Amino acid sequence: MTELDEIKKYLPLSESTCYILLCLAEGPLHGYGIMQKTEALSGGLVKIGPGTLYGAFSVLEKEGLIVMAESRDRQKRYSLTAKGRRILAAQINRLEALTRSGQAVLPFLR
Amino acid sequence: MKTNTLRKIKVFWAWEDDREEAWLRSMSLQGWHLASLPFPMVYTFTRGEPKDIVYRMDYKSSPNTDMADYLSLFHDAGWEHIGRMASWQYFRKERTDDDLPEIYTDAESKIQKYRRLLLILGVLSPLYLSSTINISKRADDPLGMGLLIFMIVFALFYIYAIVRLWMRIRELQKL
Repeated sequence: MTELDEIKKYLPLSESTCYILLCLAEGPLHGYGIMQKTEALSGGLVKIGPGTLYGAFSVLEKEGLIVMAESRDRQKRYSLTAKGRRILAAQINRLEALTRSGQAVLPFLR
Repeated sequence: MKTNTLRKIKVFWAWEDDREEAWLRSMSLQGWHLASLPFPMVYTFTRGEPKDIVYRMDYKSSPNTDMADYLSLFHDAGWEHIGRMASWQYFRKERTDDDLPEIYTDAESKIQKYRRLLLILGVLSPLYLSSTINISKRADDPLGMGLLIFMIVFALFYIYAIVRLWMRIRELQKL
């Protein structure tokens, strides 16, 4: 699969998925770490519940976007794979284009 | 003397988990907190201080080999696991601010919950259909006839459940 096909397959990511991958960009984290970091990064705007996170973990792991880094005291820590990094970067670029266009039209929306 | 435990029998359909959650919350608001789920449709409560406790049910159809990981995610996020009824897992958390605590924080993952349930119903239906056909072959004796009528009535419920679940998914997709 080429990089473009890969991007087509996964993008756009849901907001929750975006935050999960974003939280792992700087290093491995466990589930609760992701929940806390997401809330902090978004200023409390986005919350990820354990049901949503559990489902996301299994899909992202199956698709090879994240991988279990270590399992200690019943806490699994996940990290981003190379594929996960590529897809997150593509998503951020895409969002950036949207934000740029959005900023340009914002004066007309007021 | 005041009794401190209460046992209730109540039937909720699979698409009514919101209603069941609301009922459990209203019991806690009256000081009856869910203690265990000993049998299908049976709820036991213990008396305590009335509290605003929010209940949430998750449908977990995946094999329970990862149960410890699954429960620790909920536990870390402050959810207490009470027990399960069939594949439904019951959790609760005390309400501390204006927002109701949720285990599914977006529509898409909530849709997935109902899709898992729908998938299980879908997988089981050919099995059910084939046994109904088998029974219909011996519908000439009264026992077979009675059984067949029962199975047809059940099948209608089954179809109704699938339709209701599908409607629930459609409703969430509009969000």
